[in-house]
Amino acid sequence: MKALIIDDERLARVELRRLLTPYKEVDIVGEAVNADDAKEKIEELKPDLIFLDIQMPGKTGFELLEELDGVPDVIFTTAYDEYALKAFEYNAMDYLLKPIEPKRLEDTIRKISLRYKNESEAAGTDSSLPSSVLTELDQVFVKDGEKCWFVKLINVRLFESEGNYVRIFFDENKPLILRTLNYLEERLDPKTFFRASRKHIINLKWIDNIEPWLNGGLLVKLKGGNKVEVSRRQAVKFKEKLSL
Amino acid sequence: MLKIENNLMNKKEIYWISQFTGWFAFSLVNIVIIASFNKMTLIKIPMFILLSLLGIFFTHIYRYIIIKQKWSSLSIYKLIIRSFIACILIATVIFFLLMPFELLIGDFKISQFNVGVLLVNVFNFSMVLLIWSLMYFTVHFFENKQVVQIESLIWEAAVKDFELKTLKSQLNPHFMFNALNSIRALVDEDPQKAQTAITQLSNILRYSLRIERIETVPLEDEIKTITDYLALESIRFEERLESKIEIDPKLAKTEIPPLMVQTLVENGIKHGISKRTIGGVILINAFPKDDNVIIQIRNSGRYDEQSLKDATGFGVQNTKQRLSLLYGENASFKLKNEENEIVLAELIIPNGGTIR
Repeated sequence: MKALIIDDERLARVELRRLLTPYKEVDIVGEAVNADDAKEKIEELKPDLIFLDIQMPGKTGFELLEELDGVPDVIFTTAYDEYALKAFEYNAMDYLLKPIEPKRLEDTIRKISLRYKNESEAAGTDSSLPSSVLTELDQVFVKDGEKCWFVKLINVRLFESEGNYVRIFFDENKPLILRTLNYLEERLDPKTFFRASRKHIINLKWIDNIEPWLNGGLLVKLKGGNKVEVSRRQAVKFKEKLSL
Repeated sequence: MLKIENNLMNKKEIYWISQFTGWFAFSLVNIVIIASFNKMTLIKIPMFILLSLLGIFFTHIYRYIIIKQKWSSLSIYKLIIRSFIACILIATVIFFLLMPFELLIGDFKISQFNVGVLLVNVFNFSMVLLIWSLMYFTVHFFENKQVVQIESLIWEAAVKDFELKTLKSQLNPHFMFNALNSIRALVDEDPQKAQTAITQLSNILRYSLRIERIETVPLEDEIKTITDYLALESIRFEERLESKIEIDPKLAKTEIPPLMVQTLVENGIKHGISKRTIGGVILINAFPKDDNVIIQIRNSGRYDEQSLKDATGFGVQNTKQRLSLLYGENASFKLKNEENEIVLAELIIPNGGTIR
């Protein structure tokens, strides 16, 4: 598991590195001192896991996550501001309080490496895709007002364009993210996600049924209740894709 | 609360003194008036003494009933009706108790008795008793008002005390845990530096525990704590934090509210220096001016007036409220942007001025 440590304090990084030495499964590939530095290093080193300090000069840890397309596994490290983590639903993320308790670090590392192992088995060894593509196993970070989520793309059934924003639908939630639909279309794995129309990208795994619609288009019903029209032009591509 | 009880003790004495002097003065005036018009018979004097004693006795019972039945909580209308009835009843009783004595001394003959005499006498006694009632309730009313006032003062003081306690700055836990984390890393890297840091952290902790019980501290104590604080923060920020303290030595013993300057320094670091990837400086100086002490904290950064009006203004609001609770109009605080990316926080506190 490749890990990146992100903290503005040198001593905090030294300390975390020291605490992580017994864990052979965690390979520390680098350190970053602020959000911009971290963004570059994440894109370059592609860590599976980041240790992220929330309070940093310039941008906060949350702001960094919002800027990333796909987000690695995150372990927040913080001295006190647990309240910042209240934004997440209960147990929806991992965090460590500084000074870090070795036992707690052990539990967290164990939990994450188990999850990592299961996921890499499930994903198989599909190396045909360039790594900039977001597959259904990737997750994104979404912040909507006071609430935060790590959302696995497999759970996102629909992306809907709203100006410069895109509304993403998962579970009972439909927050906005600052991305355009065209940008997402380039990033998302075409095996799972399909551009149904000018306004929509759908997750093929969430299709419930398909009906013929006006002008040779189609009406796709998704599990969870959303209905999306597929234009005639896109319907041809859609049929091709499904017959594959 | 003890003071109020003392007052109650005095009240009893005052009541009895007023009762005796009031009734005997009443009798005396009567005797003097009668003596100046009629030939005064000495025999009338014991009758007036008896009247005074009866007056004291029955009004005392009357007062007992007033207190027992809590007349003070009655509406004014009900109170007037009850007092009237009570006074007429008491007057009638006194009249009939006094009559045998008057017959005995020959001041009054049974043949002279008729309804007219009864009514005139009862009316006269009632008037006296009504005046008594009026005085009693008036005194009672003002006393009650005083008790309420004292209670509200005590209450106000408690509220103020509570406000000051909650406003009192506390050590920022975020700082504490970050410092502990850095020190843990230093134990390996530079044990000597780690030892110094632990000493500094203990100093700060001890100071913050000490100030929980006091209103003000000498400026030098606060500066000592700030020096330790800055030393610990520079372990964290390393080359990103630069600081300088200049205090007029004459101000060493000046009393200031504890942790107030420290909080401003901390805010300067939190909102100024820690937000800047290149770090910055923090400058603290204090000097006397007229009857005031001016304490200035400058830090690199820029403050946004708009965001200050929102939630982040808490520190500023807090400082202002604390100052006004402690010094009223005599102290002030302001925050402003200066040239070259510097934010100035300025405290003006009366030098040696008494705390309210």
